[in-house]
Amino acid sequence: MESQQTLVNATDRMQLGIETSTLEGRNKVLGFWVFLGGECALFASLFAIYLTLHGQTLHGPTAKELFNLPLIGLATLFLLTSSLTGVLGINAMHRGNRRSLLRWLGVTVLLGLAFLAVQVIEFITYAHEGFGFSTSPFSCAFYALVGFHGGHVAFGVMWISTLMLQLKKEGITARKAPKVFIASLYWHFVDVVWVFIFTVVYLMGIMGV
Amino acid sequence: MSNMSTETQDRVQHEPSHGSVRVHVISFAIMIVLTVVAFVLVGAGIAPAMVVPVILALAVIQVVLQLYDFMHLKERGHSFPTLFITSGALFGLIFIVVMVLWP
Repeated sequence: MESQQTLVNATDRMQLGIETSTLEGRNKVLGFWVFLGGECALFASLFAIYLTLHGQTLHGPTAKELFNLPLIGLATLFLLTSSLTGVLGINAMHRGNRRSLLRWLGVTVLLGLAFLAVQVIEFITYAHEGFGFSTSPFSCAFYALVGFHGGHVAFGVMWISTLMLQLKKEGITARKAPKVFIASLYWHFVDVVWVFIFTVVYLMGIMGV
Repeated sequence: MSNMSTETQDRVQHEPSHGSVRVHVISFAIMIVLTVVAFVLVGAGIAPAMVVPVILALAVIQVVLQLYDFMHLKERGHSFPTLFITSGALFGLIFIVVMVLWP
């Protein structure tokens, strides 16, 4: 109820949601965008390394021999859908509907886990085909980039799960809302990175570019 | 004053959030279509020299959609977030161009 009051005062400030109803919340969101700018540079470095080294396969398998288009399509579908359920969760938060928020976040976490399961299966298959981390410069750059992204997904799953536990206890408050909001920004960003990974690594890899 | 604020809040909280659910679902549908087009183009076995620029463009459109709709950059008061993320992306682009073209 207190948060409702804070929300009223904040409607014409930065944006319309409860997450920016306090100065702390606004700073958190702004600061998180700075972090995402840094993440851009970090992932771009990994992409740059991958694009430099992906032709050097030594005696190991090439991208064309390894990648499985339907499996990557499935992983993409999971992650893309989880991005939608994430934003629908934020929508529920803006409406003050905790049950709906928890439900959407739950679906988001499950889809994130499904994505991770596909990735684990994929990496195990590659390992059986003799494609380990130190097989070739290509494999090293591939696992560094795709594995680092997968690590981000795993972290996001843990982050959103713990937020759900807090939301169950505390409800949608002016203190909790910015945390949920930046977790959703993070989740969308992870999906943004995946769009470039499936395009540059997998689709271009399958074409042998 | 407080009455007016409450009204604003009601309008803000109820009407646009239902409208934006529809917008989000439309964005999502566009993203799915862009993804499917990219996968089909690659699966069709057309010359890579023609496909690569197209799928890269599709990826950029999809990412812009994520940023503007799902990450709310289109909303009011988002000039600093836009500045930060575009600077990050610009630096990233420079890294990639430099690393790939250096030798």
